Amino acid sequence: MAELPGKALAQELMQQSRTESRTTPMATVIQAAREGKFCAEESFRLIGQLWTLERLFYYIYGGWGQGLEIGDFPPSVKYLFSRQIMDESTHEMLYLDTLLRRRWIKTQKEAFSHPYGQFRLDSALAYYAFSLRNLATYPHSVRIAALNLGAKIVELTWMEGLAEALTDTDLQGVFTSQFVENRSHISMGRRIVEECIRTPFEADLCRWACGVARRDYGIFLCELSDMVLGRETIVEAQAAPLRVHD
Amino acid sequence: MHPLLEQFLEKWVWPTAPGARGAAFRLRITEEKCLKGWEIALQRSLAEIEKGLASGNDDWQRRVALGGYAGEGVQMSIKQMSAQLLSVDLTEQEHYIDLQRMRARQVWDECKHSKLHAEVLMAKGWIKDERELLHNAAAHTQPLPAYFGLSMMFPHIHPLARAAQHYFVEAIACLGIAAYIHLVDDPMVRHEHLSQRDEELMHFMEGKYKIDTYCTTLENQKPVEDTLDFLLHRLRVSL
Repeated sequence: MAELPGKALAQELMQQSRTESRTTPMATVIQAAREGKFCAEESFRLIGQLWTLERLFYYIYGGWGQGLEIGDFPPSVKYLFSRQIMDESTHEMLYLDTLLRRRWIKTQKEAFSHPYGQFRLDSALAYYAFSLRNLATYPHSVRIAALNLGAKIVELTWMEGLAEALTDTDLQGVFTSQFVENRSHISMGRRIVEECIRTPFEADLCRWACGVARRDYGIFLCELSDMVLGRETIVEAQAAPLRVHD
Repeated sequence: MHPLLEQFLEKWVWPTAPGARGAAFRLRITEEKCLKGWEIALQRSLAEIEKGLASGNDDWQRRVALGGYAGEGVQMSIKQMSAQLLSVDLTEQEHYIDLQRMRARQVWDECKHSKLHAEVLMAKGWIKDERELLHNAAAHTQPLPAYFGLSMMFPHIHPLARAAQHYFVEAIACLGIAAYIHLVDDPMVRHEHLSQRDEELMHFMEGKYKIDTYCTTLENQKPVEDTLDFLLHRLRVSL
């Protein structure tokens, strides 16, 4: 389908995300796993935080879904989104199941109050989740470009690296079992950008949103890797102070 | 009582999990409010199907498929289910995350259902592809806007209020499907309904589970009963 209007843009965004995904803060976690320094405690911290992020996606996707209107996008775009909502929920349950199965927590309720599963407003995790939530303001094709062709490409790359480095096959399975869905989300993103992004204005919005999603996901990964490896997190403002008027 | 309703009650309504603290409340609202509605809804479905079959043409199948497409699926359900993903405050997520998980599944279920309706319209030659429906008002309009609006108001009412809709209205969906399977031989119409059967039943069972598990105090029961009363009296669902 050579006439797809957003074909070149999809390739451009994917290429940028692949390039950025080669160096992320998760490299030190992967290295720790290779050196046998990624043990139960580190695994608990990692899975706990990833679960916390996944449970925030109910609010992100809830906000995005509220913005869809009749006739704004072809039905296929919405079918793909509904599938993505369910996949993300499956990953949330997968992480929680791991926390329970490993007996790191005794009950689901305990996960919410445990320091590794607690949601803290003043955190990079919240920063990333809120940044995605704000994309509800933009057309669905733009936010899908940002997440599926931005952060999700970075995520898949570090997950593949970590899964390869892990010797614990059960924990390895937690990540490898997500690959099929993560790859399909990237394909969904590519298709939506190729088919629905038609104007230079929309393309610029996609470039901006994709860059923001990658950047804010990177900030989260920095906090995550610090926490997993027991390092002190240094919080740095990512943008110049801004006067907000509303 | 019609055997289809009797069978549904025996298999899915009356059995109660041991120790389910909200079950007494559920059984009371079932007997006082739901039974009559279910009976009328089933009779109405059977009568409509018989009228369609007696009409001598397939146009009623087209209307059912268009109505189904308008009432569930990619256009209507994503908005509803998204509102309900947001019906659980972050501070309450530890109590109600299961509700969000079930909504995430239902949004996918409902979207598969709109595909089934579109498949009927395509297989019968009424449309070439689903995109044609983007320009068909009948595929996007339905008689009860307040019903769907209620769904979107649950974030502002109570996370459990949706249980009334699930328990009462999804039972009607299950009974309607049973009626189609009972009366219609057309393979596409059977496919349209049979393929939804398990998922609609799951949505009904979700309502049952939520009431049995969570509606254990007057405070938790009130939003459910209020919603049920609204469905019965204001929207006259099945009355």
